[in-house]
Amino acid sequence: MGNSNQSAFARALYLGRNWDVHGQPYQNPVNLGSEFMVGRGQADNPLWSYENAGFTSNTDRVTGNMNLGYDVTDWLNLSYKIGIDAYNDRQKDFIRPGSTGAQGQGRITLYDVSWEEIESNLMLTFNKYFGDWNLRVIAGNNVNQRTRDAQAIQGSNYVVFDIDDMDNANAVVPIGGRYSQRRILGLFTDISLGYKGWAYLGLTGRNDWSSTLPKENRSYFYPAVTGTVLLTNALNIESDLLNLLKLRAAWSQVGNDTDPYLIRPVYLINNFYGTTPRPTAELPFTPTSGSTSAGASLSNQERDPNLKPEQTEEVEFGVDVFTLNSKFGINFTYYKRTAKDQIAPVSLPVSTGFSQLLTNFGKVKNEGVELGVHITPFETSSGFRWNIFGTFTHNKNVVLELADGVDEITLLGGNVAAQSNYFAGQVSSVLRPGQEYGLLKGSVNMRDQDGNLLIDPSNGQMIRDPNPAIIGNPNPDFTVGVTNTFSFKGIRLSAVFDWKEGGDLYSNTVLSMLGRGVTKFNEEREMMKIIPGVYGDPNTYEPLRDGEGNKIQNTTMVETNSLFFGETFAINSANEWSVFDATVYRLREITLAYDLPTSFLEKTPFGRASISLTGRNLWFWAPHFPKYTNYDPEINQYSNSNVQGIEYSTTPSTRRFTLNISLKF
Amino acid sequence: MKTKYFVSILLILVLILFNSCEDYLDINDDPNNPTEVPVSQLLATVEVDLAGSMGASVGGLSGYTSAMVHQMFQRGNTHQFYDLQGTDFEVQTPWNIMYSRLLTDIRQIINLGTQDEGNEDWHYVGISQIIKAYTFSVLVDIWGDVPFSEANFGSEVRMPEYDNGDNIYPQLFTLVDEGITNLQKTSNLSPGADDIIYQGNLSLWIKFARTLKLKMYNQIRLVQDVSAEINALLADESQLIGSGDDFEFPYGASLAPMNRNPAYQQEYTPGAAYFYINPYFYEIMTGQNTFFPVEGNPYSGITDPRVPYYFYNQLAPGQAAENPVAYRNGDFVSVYMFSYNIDPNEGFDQASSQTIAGLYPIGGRYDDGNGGIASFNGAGDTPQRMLTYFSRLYTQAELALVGITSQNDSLLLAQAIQASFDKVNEVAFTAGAPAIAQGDIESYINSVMSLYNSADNEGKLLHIMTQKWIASFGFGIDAYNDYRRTGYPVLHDGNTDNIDITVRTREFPLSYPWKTNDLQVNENAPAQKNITTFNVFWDAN
Repeated sequence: MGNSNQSAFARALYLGRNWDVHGQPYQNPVNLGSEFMVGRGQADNPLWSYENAGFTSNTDRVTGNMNLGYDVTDWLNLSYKIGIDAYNDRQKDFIRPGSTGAQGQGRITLYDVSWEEIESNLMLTFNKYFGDWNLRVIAGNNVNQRTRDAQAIQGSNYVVFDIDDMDNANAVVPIGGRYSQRRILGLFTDISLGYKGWAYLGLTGRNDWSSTLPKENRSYFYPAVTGTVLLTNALNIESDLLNLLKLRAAWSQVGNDTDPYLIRPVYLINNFYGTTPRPTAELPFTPTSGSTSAGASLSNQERDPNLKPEQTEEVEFGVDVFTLNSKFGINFTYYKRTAKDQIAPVSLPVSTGFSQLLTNFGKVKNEGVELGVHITPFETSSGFRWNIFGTFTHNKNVVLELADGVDEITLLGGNVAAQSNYFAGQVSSVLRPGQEYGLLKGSVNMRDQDGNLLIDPSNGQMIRDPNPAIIGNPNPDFTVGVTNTFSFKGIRLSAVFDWKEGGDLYSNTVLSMLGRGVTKFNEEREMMKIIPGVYGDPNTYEPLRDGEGNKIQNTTMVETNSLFFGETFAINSANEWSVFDATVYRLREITLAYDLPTSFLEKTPFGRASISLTGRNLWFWAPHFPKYTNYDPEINQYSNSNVQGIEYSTTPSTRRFTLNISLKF
Repeated sequence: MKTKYFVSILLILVLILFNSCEDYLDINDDPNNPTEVPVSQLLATVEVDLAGSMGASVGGLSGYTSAMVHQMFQRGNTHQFYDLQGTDFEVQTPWNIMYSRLLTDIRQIINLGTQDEGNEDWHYVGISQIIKAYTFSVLVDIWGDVPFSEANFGSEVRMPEYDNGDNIYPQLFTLVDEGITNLQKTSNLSPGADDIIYQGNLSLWIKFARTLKLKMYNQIRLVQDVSAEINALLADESQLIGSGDDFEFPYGASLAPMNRNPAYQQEYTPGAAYFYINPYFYEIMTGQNTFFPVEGNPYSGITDPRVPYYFYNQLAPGQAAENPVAYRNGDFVSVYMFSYNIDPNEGFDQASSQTIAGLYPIGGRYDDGNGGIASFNGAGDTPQRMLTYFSRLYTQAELALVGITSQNDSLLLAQAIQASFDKVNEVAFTAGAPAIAQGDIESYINSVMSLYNSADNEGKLLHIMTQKWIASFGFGIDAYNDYRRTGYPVLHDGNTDNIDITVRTREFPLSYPWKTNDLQVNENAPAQKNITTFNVFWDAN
């Protein structure tokens, strides 16, 4: 799928709403290629793609475990567990000839991915009561090995139109094998001390040795302390007014390694630059009259030979209170996590010879609160019950410092796509000390000192600022979730409502819908509009002045069509106009469930039976997106986990209904 | 029994853990990617990347530079009114290829080739130094100031300084000379087929190196007295690129791996052509005068016999285009530069109707006049020209005309035009296309030379540069440099032409904007330039 123009979905969102796609032929009767009214080179007909392009994945998975346990005495136990989890995934991706993709020649790609994880745990457990005290000590050893082996080959230029097999390709090339293996050895202890069932103290310590880090940095230790006191039990409070009062506190450190083979640079064999349109020939290379040369090139990712493990320190305090006969309860947690020596690839200027550097880039703080509220406002003796469960979360993610004292780094993500792909956007995700994590940076239009947009007098459109700027902060302010449940005699009705406030999103989908003119927004396309602003000089970026030195208001009209295509507000425009506040209200789920009375089941082999009907994602409202785009900001998921708030034509969210019948013996 | 079993497992595990723990974790070497490679494999990649970054595809420098000198351009793209951005794919891509691949791999070759003292691979080192000097000369010519002294040191220098172009150029001449010296030494390894450009022929590399110096001295002739250096280079012309010695990258026929000329691969994918031929260029070559009054076209009434080798009309005679056309002239279909967002017909898709680059520039199809949709039906393997015999002759004609040498400028121009036609015929011969008859060539040369010989010195310069501009099609970099150095050829101006749907608000870009992201992540980088005022040091106009 994605944003290529060859998938059935890619263009479906942007087709003219009055086009009779189904009523038109979609396949050329002679060469069987795609036929589409939008122009040969632009996109495939979705109906053609549905039949003649596809992706299949065939996965075999094996898991196995062996457990051995031995009670040395009644308070000492030795156990050993070894497990394996392995899968093999064979994927096939094909486009038949006559597509706008694969140069119209047909292409089939086979991926063979195998993955295996072996985990071994040896544990000695001591568990004994000393009067009111309970002591449990676990000492253990953990060994983990993960192996990934992948190969991919690509065949181009189909012989027979509809045989999607590698043998049906005229030219077959490898397109990248990957092998990696990672091992971790760990020694750990977990000590917990309990007193009379109302006070607990936990101490844990773990040392890991990871194969992925440089030898001198591969060992890292991380401890944790937790404490819990059940005050209601401690003070022997048994009251309807206070049912539970629990205090929690924890301090912990967690270490983390990286992926294999990332500490020294390697050469890549027969590797070539970029994606389509490819500016260079591919390797190996054979000139028309000459012999074949293989080629090698140093990888674009510079490595840090002194890479250190990531260390995250967290403190957490919490309180749980239930009152009024447990009809009202609160769970409250405050946390602060500080991650130092975070590992990620960051952008380098390519004049260093590399486009990115994998390194410990800096220190990041996450601080937040989580609040859960339970209310039972109404309950009758006949069995009717109304429950409300509400949550509120707020997190602030701030960059505290960056390595080597730099003022800004760019996380990889949107930016890399932009470097290698002609059609990708140019928005990047940047970190600046003292500011929130992952600010969006992108192109903007030129303004004068008073903030007026500068308008190009030749066409009434804006003037691009040669320097990009911060155009958004993707971090939401808070989220609220409310679940209402009504239950009566085996019938249960529940509704989940969500509210996410704030957080900016760059949306390529909205940009495309506006630019392609498929929303009611563009209905008056023959109308002329004037962009508010003053005339500017596109050479000097200064406002133009009239005879008296005054700025001149823009009076040049732009067609509605160009208002969303050009140096305006959608396609080919500055990124700032495609950033929206992603606040969204959502009815996430309604469930109606019925548990059959046990009396019904007496003559059946079933112990329990229930039937439920669930509707998910039934309604949402994102008030800050253009009115007619009906855009769901929750589809924002850029594949790079470090980058958020950038969306490149993702599949839209779906509304789903499920009927669930559950029978238990 | 149970206990015994358990204890023995435990013992084995403890042994594994404490005895072989270190070895067990020493698995962090990628088994599939080497940490050392032979210099020959690096050289092959370097030459592929050199040709690509200079080439006429949308990601090569010849794409946009050809647009700047009005040979071809994209519909619906702001570069057609001189708006270049540091985020443009066309601006970033060659910069990325040159710094992150080409120059990095050259640095590896020089390091690897000199690490074994007494056993150096001098021939690889020499070739790499010459390619490095050529690459940096292009970087300076296009961007002005670029990272040079601190470039390509990886994380040792994370934020390279931008050096002034006039500080870089002298070091490039030294680098070329070092390269020539190293090519004449005894070398441990010497290139063969891995040297895709010259197949290990070192004397051709030396000829290229000396011709490159000639080109570079000519480029800086307005800001420096270069007559001694140039006359020294011209003292023995047999040491310069001659006919058949062109510095060009030969492409191949394979689709996968894609070994074809990337510009051909791009333009001849069915319905996917990027570039429209600038009607102005077409009219200059066909002797027409739509754009300016009669005196505007120096070759008014003269038809250039190279036209069917330069441009390919997809439309058959009289065939209707798929959409309303902005510019149609016979079966030649295009759009006007400077008409984006003004001419409604500029926006129509003409992928199957537009005229596209033909056989000579990118290895496309020879136009036999019958039309036909482009669908990988061209040659595909036509070389990417970079420095040719004909461009050397035009350079000599220019140097003679401005008095730096005492050679015969008129004779040199006639030779240069003949060499340009010979090059077209060479490409045509390889592709099996008909040759241009020598009689037609001579009649064209005679028409041009009679105009030349009756012109004043300014007019003569116009003819030399206009002819060089025509001959260069497919390699835009020199034409963009020449225009900024000499002011010729005369380019189409959207404001003063006869066409009311073309408007030019921006001035001609005197250099390319720097890659935006490189400025963002480099605190030692300058602020983004104003491309209409930031000129390269040799640009004294």
